[in-house]
Amino acid sequence: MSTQKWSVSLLMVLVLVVAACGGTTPQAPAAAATQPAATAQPTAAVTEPAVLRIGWGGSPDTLNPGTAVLAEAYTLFELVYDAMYQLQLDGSTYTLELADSVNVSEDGLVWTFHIRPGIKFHDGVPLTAKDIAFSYNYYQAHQDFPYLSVYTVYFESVEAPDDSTVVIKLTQAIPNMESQLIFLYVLPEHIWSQYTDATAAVEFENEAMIGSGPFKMVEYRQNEFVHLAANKDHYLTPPKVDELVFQTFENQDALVQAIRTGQVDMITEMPMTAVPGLRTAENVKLVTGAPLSPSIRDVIFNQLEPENCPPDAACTGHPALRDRNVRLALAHATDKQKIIDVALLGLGTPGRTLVANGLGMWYNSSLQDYAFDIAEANRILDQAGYADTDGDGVRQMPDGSAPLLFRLYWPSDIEAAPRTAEMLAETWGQVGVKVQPQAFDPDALTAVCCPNFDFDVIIWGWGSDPDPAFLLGTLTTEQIPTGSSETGYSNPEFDALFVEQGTTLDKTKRQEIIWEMQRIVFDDVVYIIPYYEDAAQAYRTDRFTGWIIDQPKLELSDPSSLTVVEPVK
Amino acid sequence: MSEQTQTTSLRGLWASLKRNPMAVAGLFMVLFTVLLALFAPLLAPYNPKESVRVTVDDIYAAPSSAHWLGTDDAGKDVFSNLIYGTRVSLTVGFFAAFISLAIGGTIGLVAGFVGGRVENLLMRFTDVILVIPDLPLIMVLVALTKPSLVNIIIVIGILGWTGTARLVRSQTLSVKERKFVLRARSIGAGNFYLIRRHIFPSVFPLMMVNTVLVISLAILEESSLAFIGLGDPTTLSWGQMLNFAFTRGGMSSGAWWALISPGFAIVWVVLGLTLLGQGLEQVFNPRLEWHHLSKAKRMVRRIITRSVESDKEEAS
Amino acid sequence: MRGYRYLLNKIAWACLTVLFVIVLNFFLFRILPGDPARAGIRDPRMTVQAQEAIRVRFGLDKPVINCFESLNPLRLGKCGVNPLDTQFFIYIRNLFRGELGFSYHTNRPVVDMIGERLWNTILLTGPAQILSIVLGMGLGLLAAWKAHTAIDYASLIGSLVAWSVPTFWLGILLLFWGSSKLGLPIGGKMTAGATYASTAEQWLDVLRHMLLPTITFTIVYMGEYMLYMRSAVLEVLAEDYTLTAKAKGLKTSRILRVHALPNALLPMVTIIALNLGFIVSGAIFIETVFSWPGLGLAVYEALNRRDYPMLQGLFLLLALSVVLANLVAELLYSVLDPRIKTG
Repeated sequence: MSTQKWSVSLLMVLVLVVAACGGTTPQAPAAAATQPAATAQPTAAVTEPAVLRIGWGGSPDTLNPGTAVLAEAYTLFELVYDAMYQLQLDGSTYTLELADSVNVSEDGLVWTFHIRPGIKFHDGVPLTAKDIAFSYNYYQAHQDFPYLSVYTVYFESVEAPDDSTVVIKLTQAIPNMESQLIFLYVLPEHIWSQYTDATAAVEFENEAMIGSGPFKMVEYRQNEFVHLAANKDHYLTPPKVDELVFQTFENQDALVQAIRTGQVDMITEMPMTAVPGLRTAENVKLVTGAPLSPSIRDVIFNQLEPENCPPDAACTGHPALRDRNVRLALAHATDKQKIIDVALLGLGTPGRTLVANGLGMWYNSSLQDYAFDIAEANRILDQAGYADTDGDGVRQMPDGSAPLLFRLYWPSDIEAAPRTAEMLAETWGQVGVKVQPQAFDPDALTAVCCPNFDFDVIIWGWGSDPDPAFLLGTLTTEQIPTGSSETGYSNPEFDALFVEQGTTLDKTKRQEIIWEMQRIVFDDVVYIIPYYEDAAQAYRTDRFTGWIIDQPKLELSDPSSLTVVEPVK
Repeated sequence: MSEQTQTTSLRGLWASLKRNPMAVAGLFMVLFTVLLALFAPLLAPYNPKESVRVTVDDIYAAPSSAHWLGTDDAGKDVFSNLIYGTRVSLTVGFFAAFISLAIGGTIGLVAGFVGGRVENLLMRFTDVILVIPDLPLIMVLVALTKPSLVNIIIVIGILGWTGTARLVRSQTLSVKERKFVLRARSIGAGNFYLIRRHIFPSVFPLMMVNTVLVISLAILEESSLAFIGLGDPTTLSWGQMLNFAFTRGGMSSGAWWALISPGFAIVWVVLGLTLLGQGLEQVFNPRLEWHHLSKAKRMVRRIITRSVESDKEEAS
Repeated sequence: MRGYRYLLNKIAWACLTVLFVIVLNFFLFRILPGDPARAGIRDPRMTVQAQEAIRVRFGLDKPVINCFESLNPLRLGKCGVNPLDTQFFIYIRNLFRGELGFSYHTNRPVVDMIGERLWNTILLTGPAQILSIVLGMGLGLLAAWKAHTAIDYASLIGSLVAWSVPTFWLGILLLFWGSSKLGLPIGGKMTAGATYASTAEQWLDVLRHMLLPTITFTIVYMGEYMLYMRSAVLEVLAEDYTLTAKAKGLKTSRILRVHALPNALLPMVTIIALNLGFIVSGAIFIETVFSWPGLGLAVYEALNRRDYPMLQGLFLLLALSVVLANLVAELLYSVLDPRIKTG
């Protein structure tokens, strides 16, 4: 028994020694993880492929463009597929990709695209207008594609009269046709026509991922890595690198360590606390900027008027929140900069409305934010008649009925929410408003929020689309019973403007309307948008150069960067 | 018998305990923690509830004279958080244990005393509860209710009574068969009298030992749940501190103070309770060499006691 | 014969428990306010039709069971509905087919996703268990033999400390120390995206990643086994026949080997078998800290993503393994214990 024990202990010691001393990572160009990263790299021989390694903390949920919901999947789709248009890094300019010209009829109902000749799919089969028409009809036919079916809502018919012409007929003229088409990735008909049945379409895993984009699929292992190879025959943007590997790191600390040691060449995310350290790390450049696909953090006020309460809904919102004065006072009592400092470590900008600063021309940059001014907030509430009649530090309704006690909820999957709630509770407390904080399971919160309206204040958020219409639509009266409206805001003027922007084809005019809509909801303090989060990404300066970092938006994993970077000579 | 009555008096208990150095150490550790919890506002240099104006440099700041154990991901003082954390952990431990003991004690007592089909049913029920994996069940319960400290306490309490039930039952059984109980019954003593006068005093010492163990388990359980994200983010328990440190980039920032100190505090309290429990066990049941240290252990005892009983049944 | 009756009794009871777990599993996850259409992401682009279509695809438009349309929110329905068309029976039928539904997150069959992860957990926990058993038993034997000496107290304290340390914290400690001081990986099973010159190189990489989690696992369980072993051996050593053997002049090592060990093995085997049932639950924390892609990490991820079918499948797996382990333990005990032999 004792000898067994000894030999095992000896074995363990040996293994420890081996691991500590000789841990070389078995990769060709990467340095050994235990040695400092500044060892000389062998110059890349002509035959040595230039492999760009990107580290990320997630993984695509599926390679099927119809059913995918995660951002990682969309990153891959952008690289492997083409679409009719491409969104530039200023957030609102669209350029033609698959087509080289477009003709719109007078009434805006018929869009005729002329497709470039000579485009091939990765398996060699030519891409023609027929594939495009097939893809658009495919997306339209499958109502349960979570994000993509909504883009085909205005399509009346899509046809390909010949191999290089696509004719899209709309049910009405819409101003944002380009933004509808950037996510409708063109699928090869000769593969996807076998999966037209509803169940087949959703269950098809699409591991081969044949597209026409600047990169092609080599191997995919979920939660491990995605290996892409350059499509040097791409008609528009053939990449300079040879291969891409997206490596999944199960935790963010590993990600940060990987870029420090040179195990990866670029990372698309990092824990905020790593930013100061990476700013000074050797051979690493950290860049921050507005993300290309922004997500919005919002503080929702339940301001549903009782007459708009949907049937079977609880509608228990605190009456004080229906008064603009109260919301305005709370806006003045919110220290956005401090929230940004604590929750985002300074990596964000104070927000205005649901339309984020990442949306380019659609973002109303003229709106002046409400200053953090406790005295002003108190003054507003005093003047509006909310006095603290019983001296307990909490104000009462003007008629003395209820104290200003608000339920503050948030979903447990927003990491920064508990700290944000803490700060709101503190500053709002200084103006006589008391808060009851409570974390919720996200699904339980949905049941409480909308269209049930059984809450006072919620900290939540949205993902967003390059076009502002989707998010602004959640503020219309008609969305109250559907569950999309979280605030219960109802303003006929706003509703009318929303309809108008949906049919105004002139871009400048539409921009005016969208700006006006933002001004209205900002004036009415429908939400408090604490911040627009910045993206922080980093790349190694000693590996690849040419990263696009001078644009208004930052997204190093966008084709705009990945097709132009080349190895450092 | 006389041994038992001697040790159930407090002074006798302390005398026996003193002889066991591990138990004394455990008692000291527990008392120290309780004192910390009681006098937290006086001992902690900062108030965790107070907000701090932070810049990037204040996040995960290394230990300094201003912050003995550095700061956490929100710039708050780790040392103060640690001290206030004693309150949360002890609260959870005591109340969750209370629930477990109440349920387990009742079930065990009823099962052991009434016997027969009732006992069979109750013990089968206990078995089933034991089989269900804790974590998914807790996750479901927390999702259904809201993540609050009260709910966590309730949930830990209603899942942790099985060991107590077994223990109380087997002890009740053994006392029930003793001659003095049979004699008391024969002269017409009622059930409640028997329980109060004879069974309870025998069961109580072992339950005391079990209490200490259950408290330590509850504290461990709460820290694990908080770490995995099922805790209450508004109350800063030690497990919650570890959750924040681990998920908000503590490792890559090298913030060992935020990662090590809460765990150390957990070990301190749990070890103290465990040592105390060991000591108490030695006092009340000196021949008892087995340790009540895990579910598996309790199951083994059940197997052994059951097989021993079935042998007894066979024999009688 | 008594033995067979005992056996059948145990097996019947285990089957009943399994049935209970299966039914509980179903209702537990229907009571949750889960919604595949909203799984994680809030996006204004998801239309009502899309949400409805997704629900239909996951079979959530069918009534939960006769008389109940849904459990959360509680809605009563028609009692006369064809029972075979309810979610409950579809669930049972799928179980018999070996299907556990589709993950909300990836749309892939849950069985596939579990299958991918199972081997990783076995790889991690297998050697760790063996190590902790061997080391624990060895230490326990040593401690019992040298009872009430410094060695005994030292190992006793050590085991108690190991018992008091939260599993995940021990993992964090070792990970921190190992990754910053020893250059060991900060998580995962293999270096991400690496290419290997040979299988041996690949295995070396895996071993490097396995080192710290295995040590954590070993320490956690070692304490427990050590304590049991010590008690068991002490009990044997306190018996009269040990005294006799010693008086007869038998060497200590022989006494330990021939008398103490086999008699202590009985409860040890039982405990080991029981622990095996709880291995995956125990692995949850270690795999989370070390990002080891096993079943434990799958539970943690499914929990965070509210991937209910996945959780349901994992829950079932966990419960079944506990029931099975208990059954094996009881059977083993009855086989090994001379008192419960047949006849």
